[in-house]
Amino acid sequence: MESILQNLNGMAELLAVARIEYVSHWDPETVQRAFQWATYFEHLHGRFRTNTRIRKALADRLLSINESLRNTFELYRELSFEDLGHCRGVLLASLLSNPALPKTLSDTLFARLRPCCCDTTGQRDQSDLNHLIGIARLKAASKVLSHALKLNGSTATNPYPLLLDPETETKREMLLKSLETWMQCPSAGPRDKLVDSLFAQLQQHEINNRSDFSKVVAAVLLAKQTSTESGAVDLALKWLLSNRCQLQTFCHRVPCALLSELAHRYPSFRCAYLEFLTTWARSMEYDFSCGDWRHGSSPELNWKELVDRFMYLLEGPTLVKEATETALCALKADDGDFEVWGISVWTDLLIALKKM
Amino acid sequence: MAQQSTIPAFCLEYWQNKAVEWGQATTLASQQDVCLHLQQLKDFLQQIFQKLQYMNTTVAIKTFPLVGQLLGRLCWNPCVVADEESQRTLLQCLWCLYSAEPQNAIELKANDWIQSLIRHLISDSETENNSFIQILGYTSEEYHSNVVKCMVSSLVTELRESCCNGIRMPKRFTPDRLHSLSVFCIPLVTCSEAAPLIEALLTCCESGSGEALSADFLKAVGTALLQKKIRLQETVIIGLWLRYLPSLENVTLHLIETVVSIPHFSPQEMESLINDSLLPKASARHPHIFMIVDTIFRNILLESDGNLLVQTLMQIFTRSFIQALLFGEAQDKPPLKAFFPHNPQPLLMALLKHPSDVPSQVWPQHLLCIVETLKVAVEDKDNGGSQRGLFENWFLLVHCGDWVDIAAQQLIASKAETSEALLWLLAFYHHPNNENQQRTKLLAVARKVCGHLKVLFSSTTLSLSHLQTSLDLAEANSEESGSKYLFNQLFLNFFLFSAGGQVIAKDAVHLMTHGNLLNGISAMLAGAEYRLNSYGLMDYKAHRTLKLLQEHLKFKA
Repeated sequence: MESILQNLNGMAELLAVARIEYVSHWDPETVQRAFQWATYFEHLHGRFRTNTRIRKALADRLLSINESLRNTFELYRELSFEDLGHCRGVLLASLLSNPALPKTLSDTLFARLRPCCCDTTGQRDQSDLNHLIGIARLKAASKVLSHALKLNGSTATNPYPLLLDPETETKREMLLKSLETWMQCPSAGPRDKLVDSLFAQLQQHEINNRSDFSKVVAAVLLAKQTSTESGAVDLALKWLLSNRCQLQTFCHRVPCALLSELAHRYPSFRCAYLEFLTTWARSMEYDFSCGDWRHGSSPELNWKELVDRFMYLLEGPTLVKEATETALCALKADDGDFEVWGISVWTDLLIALKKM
Repeated sequence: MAQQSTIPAFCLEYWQNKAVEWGQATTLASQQDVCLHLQQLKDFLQQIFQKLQYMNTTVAIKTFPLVGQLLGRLCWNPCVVADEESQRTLLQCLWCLYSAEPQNAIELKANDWIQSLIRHLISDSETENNSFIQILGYTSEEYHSNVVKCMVSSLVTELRESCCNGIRMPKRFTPDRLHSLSVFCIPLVTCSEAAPLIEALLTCCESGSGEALSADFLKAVGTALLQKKIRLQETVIIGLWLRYLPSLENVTLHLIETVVSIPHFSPQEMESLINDSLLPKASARHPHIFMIVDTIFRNILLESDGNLLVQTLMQIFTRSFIQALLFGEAQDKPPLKAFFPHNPQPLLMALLKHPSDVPSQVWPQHLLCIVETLKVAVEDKDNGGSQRGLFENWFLLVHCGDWVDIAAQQLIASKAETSEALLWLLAFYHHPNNENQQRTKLLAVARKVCGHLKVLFSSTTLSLSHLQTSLDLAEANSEESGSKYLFNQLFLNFFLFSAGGQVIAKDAVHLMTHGNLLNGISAMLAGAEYRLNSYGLMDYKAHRTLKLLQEHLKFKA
């Protein structure tokens, strides 16, 4: 048993390496051996699938392997016991989608996959192909269904802003699941570090590639509170509020309606959000030539957006509305309590908001 | 030399144009068009694959210069890729164009192009999804599977809300939208994650003005069910049959084909196949379904000239059907009359009781009752359309053919008065129509044979010569298969149940095979065994004789 667990370690490392650049050092024999190992684990899976004790032992070991390898490899793909059941397919998919795979190796792999070959190994090859077909099929199915959902008619203007599209909802669920798993980590220190580093990665990726990580985080924070989830959600909130830069990016990328809902739900967020808006407003300068408030360095932080955001807050639930009003009035008073346009940003905000 | 392709150029060109027209299926119209043509496309791809299998890449490209373009375009069409079968065939075609050892520039280029296509299919080209999932450590399969489930559940919720509230609410799902949605589901019929959506569509009430769902969709579901690629609840399946007749017909024909192609006659296997098909249950709840299934059985029976397998199929089906009727849920069970409108009630009551539900001591009386009611029904000239009445009652008898077998079993040991009735029953079974006096003639011969056998019944020392007269008589009158069958039944029952039959059984059967008297004797033996087992008759002697004969025949074959 111990040797099997050791080998499991090796297999996981093998699969991890298959996804990174190191694979450019592999040669045909390595590939061959890798597939032999994969076959061995598929066989193990078949044997112990119904044996609860051994299955649990293997699954538990995989959990700890995932934890350790996650720190070593970037873009690590977590392994589960079910994955062992189609290990060869997993290996194949990892290799084929790895851009660093040398051409000679990819040629060998493709030739190996020939589905119409009827030799004794023909039977086995089909299962690799089945795995690939399964992946492609699901991808295509989600596209087809997204077309079907568009039949709704209501497309661009979402009448209910908190309604999530399926992609965001799925990402939310997956993120929640990860958070819940990490919550099981006994010590808070390494766990927070992990969350920090991963979320930072994700946000950086979002900035580079215009993805929707912030929206997903917002979705997580708006998830229905159940006893297990509350811990996970708090983790996300903690990360969000721990760093001003993160918060700024978040507030810029998430739609106003969701932000005001968040402000309603989390008092800590409300304070932080108001602070964010206040800072933004303070950094605006009045441009006399066109009679408008502008931001010194970033033209996209425009007046209209600022007003819109305050608007959403004022149209929100009572608590939020009152807090916002109080804050604005206090700031106006501090600034001299002017009623004339163009002198204090707070005055102008209140004027603009009253007009709407 | 390039082979002469038998696929007309028109077809390849047609699909080429179609693929260009569809593009990547970004508009509603093109998506719907793809889904509607999916089955034909699958057939075409299969044809192309058959051709490409035996060509190497260079030859293939010479023969079908545009095939690469076609395959490539199809790979980028999600409606084609989502269907498992079409994707598989597509990939198989692609691999035919892949050369393990490329010989020239064309083959090298083809290899590269195929590799890039495969990569596109399995990995996420959109970097955003890719990295989010990867950073968290999930796989793209998991992500897409969850997205599909999420989309399915939101569609299902919408469908459930808007269909059949009981109150007439403005439905968000107009018949048009339902139709379009059902077309979208055609490639997803075999996708297990989409099964709740398929079920929701099928259970959605009709808007009242005709069928809202697309016929192609219903056909695709029917086919997937037959190939066991999808699992649906029983009520949903029966609902499908009720609203789309061809699916019911296909299931029935498929059942018949499967049953007829079982290598050895096995009533047990037949029974399980019939029950698995869900037809008895469905027929018990809906007389409409029963009528259609029964009509198909009847036609096959007549076309096959009374094939024994079809007869047994009808008998076993009827038994399962009656059981489903008796033991099914009690919500408005249709009366027997709804299923058998042309048969008189007393006859129905007599025949539809299965022999295993009647104690064996009561069999002679019950048989007499059957014969009397049957005679009345058949000879009742006042019943309008007497020819029709005759056939309807004969068909009913065929459904309940177990009683005819019991009659044959009881005949030889029976008393004189009963024998006459039983003989009439057997003769009627094989010749319902007495236009040319065939029945009367058969009756006469059978009476004689039976008479001879009766005399020999209790004799313990028998030899083949004793049987000679009966055998000759039988052989002389066996031009028709019906008569042959009757005599075989008489002789078989004689061997099994008479005192001295066991001894001469082997030799007699040997003689009968030579004289071409035997017709499907192993089937008959299997039937007899099944009956002995299911009626719990503890007749060890009969069992032993049966085993002996079966061994003998196996040895011969």
